[in-house]
Amino acid sequence: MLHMNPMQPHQPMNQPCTLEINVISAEDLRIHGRPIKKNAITYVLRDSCKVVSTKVNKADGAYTFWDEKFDVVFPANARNLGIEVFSGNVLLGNASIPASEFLADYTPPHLLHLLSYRLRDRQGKRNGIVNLSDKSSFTILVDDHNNDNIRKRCSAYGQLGLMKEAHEGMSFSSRRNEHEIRRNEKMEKKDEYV
Amino acid sequence: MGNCCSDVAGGRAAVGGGAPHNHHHHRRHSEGPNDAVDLFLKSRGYSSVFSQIQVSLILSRLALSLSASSLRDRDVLSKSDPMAVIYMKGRDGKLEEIGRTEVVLNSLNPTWIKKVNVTYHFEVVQTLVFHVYDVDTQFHNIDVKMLKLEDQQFLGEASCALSEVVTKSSRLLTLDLVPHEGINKATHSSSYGKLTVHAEESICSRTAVEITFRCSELENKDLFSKSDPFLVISRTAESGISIPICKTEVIKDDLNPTWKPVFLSMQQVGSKDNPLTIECFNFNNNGKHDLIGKIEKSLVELEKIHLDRKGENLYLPSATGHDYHKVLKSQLYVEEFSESVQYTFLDYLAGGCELNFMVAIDFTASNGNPRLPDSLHYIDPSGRPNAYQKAIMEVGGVLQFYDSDKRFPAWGFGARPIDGPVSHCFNLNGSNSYCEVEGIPGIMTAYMSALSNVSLAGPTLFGRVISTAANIASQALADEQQKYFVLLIITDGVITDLEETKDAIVKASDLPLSILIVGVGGADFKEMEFLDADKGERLESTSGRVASRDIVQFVPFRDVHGGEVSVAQTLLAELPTQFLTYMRSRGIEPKNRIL
Repeated sequence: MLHMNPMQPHQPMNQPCTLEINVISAEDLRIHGRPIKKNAITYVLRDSCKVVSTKVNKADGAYTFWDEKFDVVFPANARNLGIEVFSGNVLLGNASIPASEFLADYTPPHLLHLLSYRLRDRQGKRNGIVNLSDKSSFTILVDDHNNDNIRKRCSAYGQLGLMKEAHEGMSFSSRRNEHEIRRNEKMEKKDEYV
Repeated sequence: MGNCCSDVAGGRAAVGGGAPHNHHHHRRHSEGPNDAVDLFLKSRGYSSVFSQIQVSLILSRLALSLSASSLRDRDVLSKSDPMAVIYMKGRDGKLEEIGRTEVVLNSLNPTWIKKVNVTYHFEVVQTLVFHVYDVDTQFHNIDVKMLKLEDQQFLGEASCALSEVVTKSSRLLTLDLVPHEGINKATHSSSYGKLTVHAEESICSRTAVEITFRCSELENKDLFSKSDPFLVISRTAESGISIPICKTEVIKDDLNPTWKPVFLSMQQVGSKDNPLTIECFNFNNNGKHDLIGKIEKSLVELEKIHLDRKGENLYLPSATGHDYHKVLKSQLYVEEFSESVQYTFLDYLAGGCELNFMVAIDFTASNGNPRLPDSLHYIDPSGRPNAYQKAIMEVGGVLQFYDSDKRFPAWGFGARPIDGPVSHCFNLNGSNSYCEVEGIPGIMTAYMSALSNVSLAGPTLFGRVISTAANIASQALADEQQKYFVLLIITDGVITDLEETKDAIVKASDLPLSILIVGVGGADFKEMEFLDADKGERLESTSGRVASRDIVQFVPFRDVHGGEVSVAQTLLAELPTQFLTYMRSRGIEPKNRIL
């Protein structure tokens, strides 16, 4: 069993982990006070770098559902996750989630966290809420093979499988998604010229 | 969705027909633990206010059945002919009969067949009393309901709380029969026999079906545009009358429409084999909708249509003859068909999930000197409980049945323990190492000894107490225990650390924890109302995180003091909903499933 000081929340693990992030939905998205009609898209950032994005939701308006899952590798030195919600190329709002909220929270990191965040626009005004879920799985470093402590901790999380790409900073699924982001960014630029 | 319950009060009313609320986004239930989020997802959006997951079965109907063993033999030539009468004890202590079993002839170990229905309420202690009689032969052809009980021979009685039965994983509870109320059970148990109570929850209430319908080549009924079709689904009652149970939205100008998914609970449908009538109408503003076509199919048949991926032709009943139906080119398709089981609160209890009670008491100076009668902490020598004691007894009195070891963490806040600095979370029992006390009497003893051992101070801070409780809940999660925690905070004043409290609550909203706050005294409790999310917006922390669900329930003591409804009832009413919201949004299933 995981040993923990009962007076302390779960300590952040000083090692890379893979976050299984589900971008579920956003609520009450507005442009100039009016509910948006369509085309909301959410980007997930790691320390201000876009890593994955949802699809553009053409059907939903102010209350948009994506329910899209991503594996995002979170290196030991990473500090936070960012969320940016756009409609077309307009930033509706963003939120910053410190690593402590999903790695050192009351809920043990390997269990499902349901996280909701207030979105704020460029002026810092409140603009809706984003709903996510997250589960973290920890990976073992190859040269830590003989370290019993780490192995035990990993088995407690049911994650004995090695994931090499953890060290490279990005998993396959998020890498694939990066192309989409570049494509989207190009499209955004095109829009600006028009 | 007329039968959709959008809040707790509505949920209670809509027990019979509570369908999950209709949502635009739809997908089939698929694999993966993160799919638990599906429910979280459904509960969000399409509603600008913070809405809870649709919990349609807050009240549960239970069927009680009884058996007995080693009853006393009161007949000379044969054995007793026993019958049992079940009573519910009211708040005033009066017994109200809720049903009788049949008479079993010539048996000292009867198993009665007749079941007695009772509605389970979480928020009150429902005391059941059972009386067993030997029915004399001369009365055997009289309806049991007409029997005069005073003419029968009394074989013994037993009593228990309904919550004691439902928390048993087998839902079986064996009680000792005693001669009369008030007589020591231990000395008489062997001679009067035993009574076993079994409670059964209706199974069909748990299943719900979600269906997406599509039609093709509908007939055009409008002159200048295409038809505006919608579907009405009805069930045929035993009397032959058709009862509409569900309706889709109207799709404008479309002869090949796909409607949003509809939800049918098994309670509405009856069974999977019951024929349902599906009628397609063209919407007219004047309310006289034209029938485009209809079809009769049971859920089993609809599932088959879905699996075969083939349409079924609609027909139009002819205006004149009974037998002749005009079969139409129009077809009905079932695009999606999924069944889901929603566990009830009682399923989790029977699966071994416990509710763990924790209590935190306000020891700030604003309560007044405990030695003076005007203090909120004044211990009346006559034994009349003060507001704190009353709240503990009422809330603890209900919750204690759901906690098997009855060891309750108890804290105080806002006081100086002997010679120490002000503590915002100290163990009520005076110990430095453990916070638990034994049962409700243990809380009372610890509370009274703390009153004489600490000096009242201030300010009123909740943050420490909530995070201590959250850590206990967190530890249980890490240990993979299926437990849900209920923290009762009793306070006389407005909190000073509103931001810290909000942060702690927002973080704790992701834990199996609910917080009940009772406000005593005459202070202004506006801020407490603010913490209780159902009275305003979703709670937001300083970091921008928003509570994923409502976990706080606040009740000022004066509102309910002396009224019909007890504090406990008001506070606890929302708890099963908060519990189910937590379990369902994470896809947590009861441990021992008894489906």
